[in-house]
Amino acid sequence: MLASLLSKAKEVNYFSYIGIIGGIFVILSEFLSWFSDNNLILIYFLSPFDPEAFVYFFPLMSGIICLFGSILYTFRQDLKINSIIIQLIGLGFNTIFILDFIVNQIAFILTIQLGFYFFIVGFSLIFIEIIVKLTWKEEIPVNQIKEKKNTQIEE
Amino acid sequence: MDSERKEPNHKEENFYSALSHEIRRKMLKIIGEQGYSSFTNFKKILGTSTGTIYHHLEVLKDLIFQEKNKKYYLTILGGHAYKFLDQNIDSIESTKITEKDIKSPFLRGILSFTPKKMFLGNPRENILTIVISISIMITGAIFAGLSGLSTCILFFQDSVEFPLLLDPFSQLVLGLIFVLNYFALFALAEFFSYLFYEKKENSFKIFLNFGLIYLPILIYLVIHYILLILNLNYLKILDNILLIFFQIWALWLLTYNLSVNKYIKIERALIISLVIHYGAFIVLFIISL
Repeated sequence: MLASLLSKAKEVNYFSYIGIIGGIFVILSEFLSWFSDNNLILIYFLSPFDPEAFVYFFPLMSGIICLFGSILYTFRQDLKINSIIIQLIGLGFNTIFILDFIVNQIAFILTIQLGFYFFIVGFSLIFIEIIVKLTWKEEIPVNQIKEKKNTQIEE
Repeated sequence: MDSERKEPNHKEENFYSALSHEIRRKMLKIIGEQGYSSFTNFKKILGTSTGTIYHHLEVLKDLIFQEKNKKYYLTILGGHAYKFLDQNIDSIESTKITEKDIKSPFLRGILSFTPKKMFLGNPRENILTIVISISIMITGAIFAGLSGLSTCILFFQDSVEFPLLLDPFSQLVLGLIFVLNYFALFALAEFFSYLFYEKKENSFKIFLNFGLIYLPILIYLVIHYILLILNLNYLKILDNILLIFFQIWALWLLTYNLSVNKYIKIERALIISLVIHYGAFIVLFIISL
């Protein structure tokens, strides 16, 4: 079972790992400091009376959803549209988080720390993966295109 | 005179007979995508015997020619055949999503929430689709105004702190902004379909059933208004999560509509939806700053 899963993963084009890395980045951003040495979980517990405080968990939720979407595509390439829709839901959490949180905290933009950068890089990587997945031509697999080009160069 | 008449028929026959076999279609695509191909290249990619390839090359003699460097190129007719294949594969692929053989239960679930008949049918004959579309647009505008929400394509932002105390003029302006965004989304979808894929067909049909895309947004606006009236501040987070799901549903409807009416592959239609959605997000982000 594990061997078959691994062999399937080996067949996957490398770009699918962009989304996995992006998802991991977004998850990690939750635990890294954003502004003034506080990570988002700490900020959540520091704001018990804020009805919108749960929004601080959005990067974590988003990262997990996007990671799931990317891993799903890694093992089941036939479920491409499904994985994209799952990733879009994940990115939806990120967009709401950006509009709700980052815009309000823009005054602290000069003190941003690693968490923020991880979040932005992760978000971008997931978005790039979706675009690459959508623009990818599946009729001729990557390895065959490479082979073709090599043969033409050799000849 | 007789031979002149026969010539085009002969070419037409060759043209369609060339396209009638999968291997020959693949050969045309290989040359079309790469500009040329060698015999070895065909053999490697197609994985068939030398004899089979020679046979198909013989059938393709009007569409492919061999240069002195032994490479195969497309003739003018071959170029037309490749274009024909490349454009029509989209039309064929675009119908795939409507077929029953979609394996994934997730996609089947989404499709069951898609008013397929209304998107596929001719709205000129189906007055109900037009009535529903206009009703959705008007009701959406009313609820956007009542909730004090400023619209940016599929995103919403509170325009004031206490939306229920908003004066009627401001509510009217917010309603008009909703209607403007409705038309802007349609215009952007048309613009990007033409810009990316040169697709102009069925614009009027899409316009007439466009309100259906806003159905999820209307549901969100109604729920948002109810939460607002009940003053359930602690459910704000539920409101955010609902917005995400209804946005994705609306994006799906837009994608589906473009795919079936503009004959674009579902992946390509998704690119258009994504560009519009995240473009609106960037605009909103910049405005918010």
